[in-house]
Amino acid sequence: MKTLRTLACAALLAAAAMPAVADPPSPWLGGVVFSTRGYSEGSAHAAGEYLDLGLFVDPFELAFLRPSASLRLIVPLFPFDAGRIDGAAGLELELFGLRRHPLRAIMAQASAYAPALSASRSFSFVDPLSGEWAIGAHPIRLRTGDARYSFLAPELLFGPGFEPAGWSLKLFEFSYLIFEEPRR
Amino acid sequence: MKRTLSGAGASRAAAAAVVALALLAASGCASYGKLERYREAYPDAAAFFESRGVPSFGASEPALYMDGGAWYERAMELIAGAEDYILISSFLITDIDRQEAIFDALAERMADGVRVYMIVDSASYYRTYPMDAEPIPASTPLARALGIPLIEYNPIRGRRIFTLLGLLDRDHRKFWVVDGRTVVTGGQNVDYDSLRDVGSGGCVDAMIEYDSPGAAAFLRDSFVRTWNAYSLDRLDPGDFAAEGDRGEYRISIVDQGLRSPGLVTGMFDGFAAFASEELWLVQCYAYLTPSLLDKVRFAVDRGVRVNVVLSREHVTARALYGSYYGMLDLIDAGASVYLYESDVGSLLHFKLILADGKLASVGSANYNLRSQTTSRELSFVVSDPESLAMIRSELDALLASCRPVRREEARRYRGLPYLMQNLLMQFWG
Repeated sequence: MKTLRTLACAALLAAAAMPAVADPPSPWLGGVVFSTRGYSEGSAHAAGEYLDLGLFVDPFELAFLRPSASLRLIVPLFPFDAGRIDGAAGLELELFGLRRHPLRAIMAQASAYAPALSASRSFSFVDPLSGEWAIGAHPIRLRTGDARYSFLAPELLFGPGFEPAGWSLKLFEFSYLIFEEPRR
Repeated sequence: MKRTLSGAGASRAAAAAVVALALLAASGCASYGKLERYREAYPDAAAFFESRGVPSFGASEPALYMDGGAWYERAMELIAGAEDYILISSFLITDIDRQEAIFDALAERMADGVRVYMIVDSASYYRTYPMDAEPIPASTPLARALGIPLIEYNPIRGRRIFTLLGLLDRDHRKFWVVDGRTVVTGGQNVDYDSLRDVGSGGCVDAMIEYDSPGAAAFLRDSFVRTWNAYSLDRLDPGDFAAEGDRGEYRISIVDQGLRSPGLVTGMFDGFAAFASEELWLVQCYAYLTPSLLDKVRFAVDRGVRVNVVLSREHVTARALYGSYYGMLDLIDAGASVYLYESDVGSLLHFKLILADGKLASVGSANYNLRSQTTSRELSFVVSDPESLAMIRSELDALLASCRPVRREEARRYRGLPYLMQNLLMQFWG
């Protein structure tokens, strides 16, 4: 039964990927990501405004369940405190891309409504085991040919033992594709 | 020269100066020794270009269009005669009757089933001209209204502020590919400056055309790669037929396309290293770096007569001041400098390098740091007698309206305003 379920999932994913695989590829492999956010009281992060900046790879052009991965720095910006800069590694799963969407008029570039789910692990550079897990959603997220724009993305935070540890809210997250894949 | 530095221009220049100085220092003076090594390693420019990965293709039926009117007529012919597809890459598209006519013609042919795609640069949105009180609007909205598929290269938008210096990356190329057979490149945009007649103040500029399926396939691939980087509607090069590699001549294509650095520098190196008698640089601007001057000096030191033709007229004060500043450097490097003078304010926008009357490049690349680094550029390098004869003839016609610039005059353009604008234009121009 378990094997059957695994095969069914694999077939579903393959079927979802088929249209995208057949599409001509974009030359991009990854890029840079910036976001601003704040944390709730009680989380491992002190109150303040934080800037995330990092690198991401977005190598699979799938029409559904498109994964990407990132490595970031979480920088306490206001007030700035270089001693409390943390790192984070995360995965993001774009659920789908919808070309005809109500927000398309806000950009001159053609865009797709592309909500996503995310999971990440933050860590302190001083004590790498002391970080938090975060599970988030990007309900207002647009993709263009060379960028992704997300607004008001909430995250639930969990401690090292997955106990609830508060929440955070990303006001915006802008990702720009700037690194090319080697020429095919 | 009646144009003066504005306060805003001065502060922009000051802000850019620090960055420019750092970059100039970094660009160094390494060109001279490098060019010597190239001369030892390669028998001629063709072998050098081949070693740099510059492809060449069979081509025939060259044609050269030297002003907006001539190119407009030819562009309309190409549109009318297209049967399958038209790919257009134009750095600028701004409003003018002829641009509108071109767009209308493209839309009509799309209705006939001809596929049309355009790549433009966001710099189209920010065009002002000293002779016009109002900025000239970009034609992007019109193209979209007509249903012409179009993407903007590296859009300049507030939400892209975090790309920082990435916004300096601009697609300065101008080329057309029609039906996998006809290829055209040069300095002319589908815009206000390029499409006006020279007699009414339009640019003096070239578009050079060939019948070359091989070059068409190469440029199609370059176009599609750029398109797919910015569009969600992906194109497949296989859907745009361009087959074979035929033609009595060979043209080489220097395509510094999406993230393809260094090819323009290689082109400059090839001309400077292998010219043996005479080198002509016809250029709009003279925003020079030590490295670019080294190339001139290297040729001069080998006994090559280096002649540089610049434009007296410029669209902006910053371009005029910045460009005039470079004249003395060229003269001190041993070049003869000429100014093209137009009675009606035409800008000399032609970008030509001609070596010994035997090798020429025509395209979009300016002899400056931006074209070497942060701009996407495209030039055809040609050596067939027919093309060279046409180019030489146009150069001779230009020279009839040129005057030499003496060192004493060039020294007058070395004040602080000239220096500041020259530094600014290392990035802005």
